[in-house]
Amino acid sequence: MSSSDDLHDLAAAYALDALEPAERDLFEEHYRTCKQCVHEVEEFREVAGFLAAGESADDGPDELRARILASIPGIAQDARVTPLRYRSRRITTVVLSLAAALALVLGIATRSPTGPDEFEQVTRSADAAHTQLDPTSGTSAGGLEIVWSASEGAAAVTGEAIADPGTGATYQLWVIEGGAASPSGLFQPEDGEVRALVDLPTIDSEDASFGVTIEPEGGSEQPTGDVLYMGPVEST
Amino acid sequence: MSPGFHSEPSRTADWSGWEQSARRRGYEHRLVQYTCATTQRSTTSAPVFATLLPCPTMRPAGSDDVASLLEAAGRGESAAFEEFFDATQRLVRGIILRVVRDRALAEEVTQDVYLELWRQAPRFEKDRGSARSWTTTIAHRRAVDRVRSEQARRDRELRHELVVDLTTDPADELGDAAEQARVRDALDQLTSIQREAIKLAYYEGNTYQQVARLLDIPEGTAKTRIRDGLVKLRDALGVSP
Repeated sequence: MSSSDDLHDLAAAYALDALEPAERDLFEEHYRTCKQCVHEVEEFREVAGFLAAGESADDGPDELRARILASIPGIAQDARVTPLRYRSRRITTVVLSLAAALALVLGIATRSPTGPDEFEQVTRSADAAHTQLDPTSGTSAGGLEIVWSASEGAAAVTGEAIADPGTGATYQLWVIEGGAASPSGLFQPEDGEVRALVDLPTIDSEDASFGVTIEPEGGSEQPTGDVLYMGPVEST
Repeated sequence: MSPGFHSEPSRTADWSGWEQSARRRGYEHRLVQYTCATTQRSTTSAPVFATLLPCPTMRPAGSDDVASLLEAAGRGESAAFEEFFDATQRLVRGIILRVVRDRALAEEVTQDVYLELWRQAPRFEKDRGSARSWTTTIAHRRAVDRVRSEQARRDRELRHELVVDLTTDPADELGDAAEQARVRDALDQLTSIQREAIKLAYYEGNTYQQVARLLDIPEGTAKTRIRDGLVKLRDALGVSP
């Protein structure tokens, strides 16, 4: 009785919240992989928005407003959605739990020793991509080059004339996409020279960029320093 | 981001280097001009770096529309959420009041809804539909769930009289006259069954099975009338396909 055709029929009722829980669950499962239904529901929801707008009320009591806004800061927000741009408009939610983020940060250090073999494993891998990171301001000197490989899950960072970050501080690489920054590895210059191999988080979108900040020793979960070097994730 | 942010000297990164680099490499189409709501300072950057802009209240120049407020709220900016609240509370309260028809209950549901809107704000995507439909979808769903559970509770407690506090008929509330007229005109283009089916479903929180019983038509017909009606409304209101 619940063939695919029947389920399409439910799109309109679904958009108006006119389904019983059982049918709603059934439709939602179908809806997740049906482009036609996603499109229809989006349109019908826009119509519902109009229906709602026709019933606009007046402003509520100030007390309600104050109560609502006061409780906001204490409430955690859901994870950001990262779209898969290379495919259909299916949405994948990237959930980086606190524990996983912490583990990622704590587990990140430059892979040492960074012997020539490990370096070449990345720079010579079949899907090696190369990005130039430019300084963002006049005070950042030099430049960084990243050769990264998704298959290796690592990036080789090299650079010259890189300033010392100071005691108790380190450089940290980030992958920035969709407005969120995912931590990558840490590296330190030696006499201005950088040569490090770092772990790379998954890069999903073609609009991602690399960024480098100075963070406290041991790295951070989110950037706290200014971005000193930047470059788009791309093959050059 | 801490309050008093503008007195901190650290985040004054000069972004001109990136801008030059982006122009040199043909990425300037990705650049957007951002303006700080507080200091009016402008900078040019790429949207991908929005979280790293030197000021936490920066917005794309010339856009303080609800979608931008929602995006900012999704990045954790509670000041933007406050603006979002003020911009949407009449809309949200209005549909909740219409569906639950009880002032005290409506206040409760409104509070729940705004907390939910804040929680889910990071999931809002501009190109997946308007800020309005995203907001009303969440508000309406909550209101309907509440009304159905209240009804179930009443049925369980064998209360036969429906006690409803209607100190003011929601239809008389101050609303956007232009919007109301537009919706009314569009609804007029439907057949009476299509119109009644949609009103019973959307405004009264009925399932299509309940609509079928109330209109004394088969369930399949109720489903079809609702769909045909929505399609007509969609075309009448010019919702882009």
